[in-house]
Order: sequence, then structure tokens, then C-alpha cells
Amino acid sequence: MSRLVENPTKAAGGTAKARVSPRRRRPGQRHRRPWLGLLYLAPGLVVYAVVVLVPAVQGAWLSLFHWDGVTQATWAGFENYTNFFRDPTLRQAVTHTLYFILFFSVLPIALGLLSAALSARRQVRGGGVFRALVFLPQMLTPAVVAVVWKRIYAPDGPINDALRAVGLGQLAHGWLGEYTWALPALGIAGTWGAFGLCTVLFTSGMQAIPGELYDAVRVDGGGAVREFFTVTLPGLRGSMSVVLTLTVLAAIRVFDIVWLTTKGGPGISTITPTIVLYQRAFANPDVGAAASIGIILAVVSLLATMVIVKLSEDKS
Amino acid sequence: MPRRRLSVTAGVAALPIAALLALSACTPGASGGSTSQATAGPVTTDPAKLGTVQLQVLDYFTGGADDAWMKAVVNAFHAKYPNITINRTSLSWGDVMQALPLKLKSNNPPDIVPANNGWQSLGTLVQGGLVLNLDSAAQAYGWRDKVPTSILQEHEFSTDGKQMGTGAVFGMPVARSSMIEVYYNRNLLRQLGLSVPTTYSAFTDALAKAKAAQLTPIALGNVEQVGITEPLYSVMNALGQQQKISDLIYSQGNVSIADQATGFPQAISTMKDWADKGYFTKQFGAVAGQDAAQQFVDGKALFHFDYSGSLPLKPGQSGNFGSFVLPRSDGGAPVATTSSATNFSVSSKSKHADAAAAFLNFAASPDAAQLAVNLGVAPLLDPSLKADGKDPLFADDVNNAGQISSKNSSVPYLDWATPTLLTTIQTKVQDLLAGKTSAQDVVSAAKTDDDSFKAKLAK
Repeated sequence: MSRLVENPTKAAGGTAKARVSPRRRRPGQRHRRPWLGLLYLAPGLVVYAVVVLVPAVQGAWLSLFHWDGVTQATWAGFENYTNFFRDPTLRQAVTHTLYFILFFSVLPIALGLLSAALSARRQVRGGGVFRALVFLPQMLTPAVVAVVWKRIYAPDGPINDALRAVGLGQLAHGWLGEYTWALPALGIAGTWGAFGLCTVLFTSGMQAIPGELYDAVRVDGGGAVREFFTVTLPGLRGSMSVVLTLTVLAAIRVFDIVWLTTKGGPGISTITPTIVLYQRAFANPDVGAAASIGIILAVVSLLATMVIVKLSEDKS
Repeated sequence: MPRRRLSVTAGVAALPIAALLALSACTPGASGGSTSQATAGPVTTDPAKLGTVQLQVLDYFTGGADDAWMKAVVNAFHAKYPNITINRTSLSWGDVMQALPLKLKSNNPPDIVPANNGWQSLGTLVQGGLVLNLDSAAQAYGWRDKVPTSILQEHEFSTDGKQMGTGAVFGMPVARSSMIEVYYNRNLLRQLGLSVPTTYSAFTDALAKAKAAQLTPIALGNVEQVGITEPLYSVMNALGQQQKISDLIYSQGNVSIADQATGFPQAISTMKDWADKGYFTKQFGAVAGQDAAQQFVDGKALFHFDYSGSLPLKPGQSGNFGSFVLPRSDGGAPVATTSSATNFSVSSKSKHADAAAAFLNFAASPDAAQLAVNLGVAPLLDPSLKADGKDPLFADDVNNAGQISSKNSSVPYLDWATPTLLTTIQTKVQDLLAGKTSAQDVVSAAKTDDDSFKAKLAK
């Protein structure tokens, strides 16, 4: 419809031909459209440029220097990047990110699909309350979440108390202080945080799937499992791409909960690239190295997003 | 459609490249200015003669007794010199550390800033010429006579910013201390039939006795990696030599962190030994620092290493506690890791350097120390001060601070030695205490860190 509005002469002329093939408009008119659109976009674009693009470019530029944040920087070329791949601490941090993708993305998606499938298409008593409760973590400040989990995992915290109460005292651990347990413990906190988001998005996605499709499966003699795999899952493609993007990016960016609980410890057993970035930027001022980590994370995030979008595109 | 998306992608990619080309003319930090210049001309030490001045002060005293003391000092100063008005901005420690270089480079920086001692902040700012050389003010006010050398040294750098702990004064302490002390529980000590340890071996005996009596000897929480540094530094000060520790931290006199004289190797082994003997809170590696402090306040541990004034005490709770500086193994005057609660430096762009120096002088004066005592926060720089005795713990704190000032027996924080040393030590010590590495490895990792920084400084 917009074509008609933006091209009043032809619309007024009303020839069917002009409407069908707008590509043949005269050259002078062809340029008007994008510029007008840009004008409408300008306020947003300017803000985006100032707040996102310019700092991003500055960050990329800084990553090519050795700089303490104050004195004259020295040109480093791609040294900060080669150091990134050589640094054993960062290598470990990257493996932790992969690990966190499991806990921040894969697990919550699986759980979210399950709980949405169980509750979305029928009236479950208390379903709304359940969704509100599991969504709650999304509304809490990360700092609060970190403090709560630190308490939960404390040697005299609720988890260990519960284990002892049921006679499993030998399973009690100093969760965040042990090399084996600290990373999965923080991961589970992440799963808890993302689970509600996944549930709510999948539930709304499922409710948008037409009921006839389910009826068709029923007619073909399919049960609940087949319903899920032939109708629900394909129908959730859009929600899935949103959820995957959000949770994978969250996993790549994990910072608050680690910084506020273990600071990457014990040793470096929970360190993440963002923790190293923060340390380099503000504790041992090496701004170039910090910027290179940021740029690599940004590029990886962009690639991850593009892959997810590509995979979830409707090919039909 | 795919074709169109491609062109958009290309456009987005071209944008940063174009901007990069535009930017490539400038090198970060290029406008940072030359190395430090001295204050120009003679210093006016009578603030009343400076005319009407507005001083902008940045600090990290955002609340509690910190804020109360700073407010009291500002008010007292303004009452004394009504022509000088002080506008404070308080930000959290983290915010100050993140923003300070940018603030100082701006066209209108605060006059007085709380740059942290050491290379992470003040050293770098000196190298960048962003803070003022205060030597002429130091001379005019006699700071070198009034402030104990071991404290003032913490604020000194060579004018090229290559050496710390020597050269010109680039900041001033305030009359409030931040020192690492040993807190003890009076009742528990009495129950064990012990008196306050006055020798290092009496202290370790007390640890063993407490353990034998099934008490937690030392409340410690290290999940955030911070808790262990407090006993570590204290033991280092008890076993090493004050001069060598200072030299190590100031990168002077070719002292290696692996030298026994610094006490560092022995202190690392001692931490391992104490952990193995069960002297620390059970599962201390998983306990939060705040929880450990609370455990101590709740009477569940005999000792606790912490900064002065940082116990989570409720009013009236302090009667059962006392504090001391860990005695030295050779019987010498106890040495404490101590600094002023903040360093105050003056921006090199400040238009009111004289007024700023006058405020620095006041914040370090006996008057300011007295204000600290009145408010129940540990003073510094005035050994003659005594607490009124109503609060025995605070009386101990005041005594400890006075002793450090009069005996000149403070050492700076070990983590000032290099910007990365703290992280290195904290992570390696966690590995050590979990049995994943040896004390030898911790020492050599610290040495590698220190050596590579010194090599960089020498360039």
C-alpha cells in the first residue's frame, strides 16, 4: 500500500500497469524513497550511531594499541588478538563459555519446551501463577540474584542443610569453593534465570499455532509426542530463534553472577572472557587487550546470531 | 531478498572501516600531556588570602562513618575558611576507578581526586601528567616532617613516573587509617586461659590451643578470593623485614618477592600450613568474606584478620572484641600493612591548586584526626590521640594506628607492586590451598609477575 501513497501521481492516474511494475518509474523518483525513509529513521540512527557504532569503532581502534588508559599508547597491530589466542587463561575462559551455553541456553530451552508443552494448550490450574513464578528471575537485578545464589550455595546454606536433613550429609559441598562444582553451580543459577523466559516465549508461541493442525495429527492417529514433533516444534521456529539468540548471547556475556560470587575462582575455574575483559580494562589497565576481548566477543556474538537466524529461516 | 540483505551487510561493514580510517590520525592517550610539571610559584599557605574559591572534590566515601567523617572535615574547613566552598561528589570505589582517567582528562576535572596508591591508578596518572607534583606545597606546609615517612612514601613517585615510594609528593594521606589488624574475641581468649599474644609464637600457640578446644581459630571466607590476602600480608609482615617489604613493593634495591627477607615465601607456606591444620573456617574456600566476618562477630571464632573498622558490629556489640597488630617473629615493633583511608591528589588542570593543597593539609591535620576519633573511625597521623575508652575495641584500633605512626612501622599493600600481582596471588593461593599446586609454584608465579613488570618499568 505504501507504494500508492508515496507515488500519488500514479495512484491518481490509476493505471493498472503502473501499479504492477513500480520498477519502471522514472529515475528521479527512485531516489526519493530511501532518503525519505532515512529521514524518518534519523533520530534513531543518530542515537544508535553515537551510543553504539562510534564506541564500537573506537573499541576496535583501541584494540590495536597497547594502552594503560592514560599515557601515550603504542601501536600493537594485531598483537592483542594473537595474545588472546595464546593466553591459557583466556583459553580456559572460552571453554567455560561453551559450558555456559549448555546451562544458559540448551538446558533452559529443553526445560522451557517441556513446561510449555505441558501447559500451553490446556487449562492447567495455576498455570498463570506458575509462569509468573518462573519468569520472576528475569525481573530481578543480577546483583540480587548473585547474592541469593551465594547464600544458597554457602557451606551452611539451604542446599547443604537440606542434604543433611535427609541424611545425605556426605553429599554436602562447599559448592562455589570447589573446582569440580563451582562452574556447574553457577551454570544451574543461569538455567534457573533463563528457564522462565523460555517457558513464557514458548507458551505464547504455542498458543499462536492453529488448533486445526493438532486436529489433523489426531485424525492421522498421532499422539501427544507426535503432535509435539510434527506441529509444535516446527511452529515454534520463530520463538526458537528469539530464545536461542537471547540465551546464547547471555551465555557469551556472563559476567555479573561470576564477578559477584567467585570472581572467576577458585583459581580460574569459573573465569569467563568478560571477567578477563573487566580485569584488563579496570584492574590492570591494559585497555587494548580488554578492547580486543570485547571485539572478539562482539564478532562471535554477531556470527552466532547470524547462524541462528539462518538456521531458523522458514525455507518453505 | 538475499541480494538486498547482502548490500545492507556490506554497508554496515563499510561504516566502521570508513570511521576507522577517519580515526587513524589519532593515537589513544596522545593528548594526555607531558610528564609532570611542578606547581608554579610560591604556595600561599594562608587559605584566607585566596579569595572566593569553589573546590570540586571527588571521593569514594559514599556512606556510613566514611561519609560522616568527610562531611565533618569539609564543614570544619569551610567554617575555618569561609571563602573556600567545597563541593563533594561521592561515587562508589568501582565507579571512581573506572572513570578517573577520563575525568582527569576532561576540560573541567575535579580539583581533588582519590587516585588509589600504587601503579594501578596514581602511578599511571603521574606518568600521564594528570596529577600535580605537590612538592612545593609539601615544603611550604612541612608535610615531610609532619607525616611519618613510611606513610608519605606511599604517595611519592619520581617525576617521570618510573619509580614509586621516592621522589616527589603526588598526593596526600588523610588523617584516617586503613590498616590490616588481627581482631580477637575476649571471652574465647579468656576461656582458653590465654592473654593477648605479644609474640608471634604466642599467637601460633593460641591457634593450636583453639583448634584443640574445637574452636575455629581464624574466621576466614575466601570465595571472592579476597579474604586470604589479609592474613597473608600480616604473616608476611611478621616474618619478613619491613625495609625489604617496602623495597619490594616500591621496586627498589633489587629485592625479589622470592627472597626470604620479604617474608613472602614463608607467609605462603604458612597459609598452606594453617589451612591443612584446620585453623581457618571450615570450607573457607566456599565461604563469603562477609559471612566469615559475621561468624567472628557471632562469637564462633577466636581471631579474624580484617581492615580497621570493617567488622559488621551492631552498636554495643564491640565490648567483647579487641584488636592488635600481629607481633613479629623477631620481636621487633609490629609492622602493619597500612595506608591512609584514601589518597588525595590534585588535578594538574586545577585552577585552585593552592586552595586544594590547603584542604589536603587540613584533611591530614590533627583536627581531622580528632574528628575521626569523635566519630569512632580509626585515625592516622596523630599518635598522641587516645579514644575515650568507652569502646575497648575502638581504643585498641586508635592505639594500633598511633603505634604505627610513632614507630614509623607501616608497609604499603603488596598488590601495589604490580598492577596484576593481586590477581596472580589470589588465584594461585586458591590453587595452593586446594592442593592443586605447591607453595613453590605460587612464589615463582608471583616472581614472574613482579619481574616482568619491573622489566617493563625499566624500559
